[in-house]
Amino acid sequence: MKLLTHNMLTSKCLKGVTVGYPLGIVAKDIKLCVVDFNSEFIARIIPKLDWATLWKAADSIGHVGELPQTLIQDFETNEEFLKKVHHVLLEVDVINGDLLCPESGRKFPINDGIPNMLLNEDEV
Amino acid sequence: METPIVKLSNKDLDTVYEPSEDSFLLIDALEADLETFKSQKSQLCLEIGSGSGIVITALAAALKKYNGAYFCAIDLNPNACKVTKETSIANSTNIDVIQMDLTNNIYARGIFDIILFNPPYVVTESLEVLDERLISKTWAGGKEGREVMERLFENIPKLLSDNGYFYLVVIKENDPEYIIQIFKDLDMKGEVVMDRKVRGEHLHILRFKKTGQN
Repeated sequence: MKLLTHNMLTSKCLKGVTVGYPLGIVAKDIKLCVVDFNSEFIARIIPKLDWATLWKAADSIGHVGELPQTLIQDFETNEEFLKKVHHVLLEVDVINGDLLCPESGRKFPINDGIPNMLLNEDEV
Repeated sequence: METPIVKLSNKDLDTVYEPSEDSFLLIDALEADLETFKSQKSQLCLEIGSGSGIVITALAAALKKYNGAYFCAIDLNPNACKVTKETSIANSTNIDVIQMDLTNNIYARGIFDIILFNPPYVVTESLEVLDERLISKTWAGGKEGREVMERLFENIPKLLSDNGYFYLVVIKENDPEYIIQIFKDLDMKGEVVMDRKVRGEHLHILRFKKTGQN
């Protein structure tokens, strides 16, 4: 699971959970991979992200590097910055671990890079 | 677009839908729109119910060198998730896979540029939709074959970006015109972009976009 995917996951559909975002991450196993860098892609994707969630997720699993906690101005033209974002978004792969609902603590296991978000009938 | 290599073991075939005419027709419809995706720089792509992963992998293989796009696949069947991942790797594409029921856990921020859904569309008794056997979930559509897909419809405008496209595979019995009307009420414009008659099924590919967009 890439952190870009984590950025769009919520546990709001759990009974009694009002926001369910962002999910916590407990990473037991992380794989770093190499993905071709496309500066335009990253620049266009940044406005679609929840930046605080990305930063916190990366920080919580020890891969925030030099990524600033608040989004910088004029990031579109800052190649070095875009490379850092690229790495955190697409090259850090959580292979095994858990996602955690911030309100209920419900765990969603990640195995072989695939988070299991399925709920039991009595949870919805 | 090249047809991806898909390797399904006999065990996989117990629960995972084998690529068939409906999968290939959806790939054909995407191929016809490839230039649009390139010019619009479509970047976030999502497939719901990816099964073997053949469709999202075909799209990923075709788009990756142009848009550097991101691809995400959802399936509720853990075996389908595993196979989608394998298909993606076997064809040198990069697809993130999530085990999930429809889009229940996706934070709807209107960011997806392409959403694909080849739903269970076969007309069955409603009870068959609830059958726990995973293979029946690949085809059993319940009343008018629309029971599963209809659970997703109202989420589409919330998930799709302003210029995004939603592709849906249906058959004649699902009443494509009725489905287009449902989307009209959701401020989305739909049309049949392809159709093909195969083995007693009249397949249609519906494509939707938000109204008021080019």
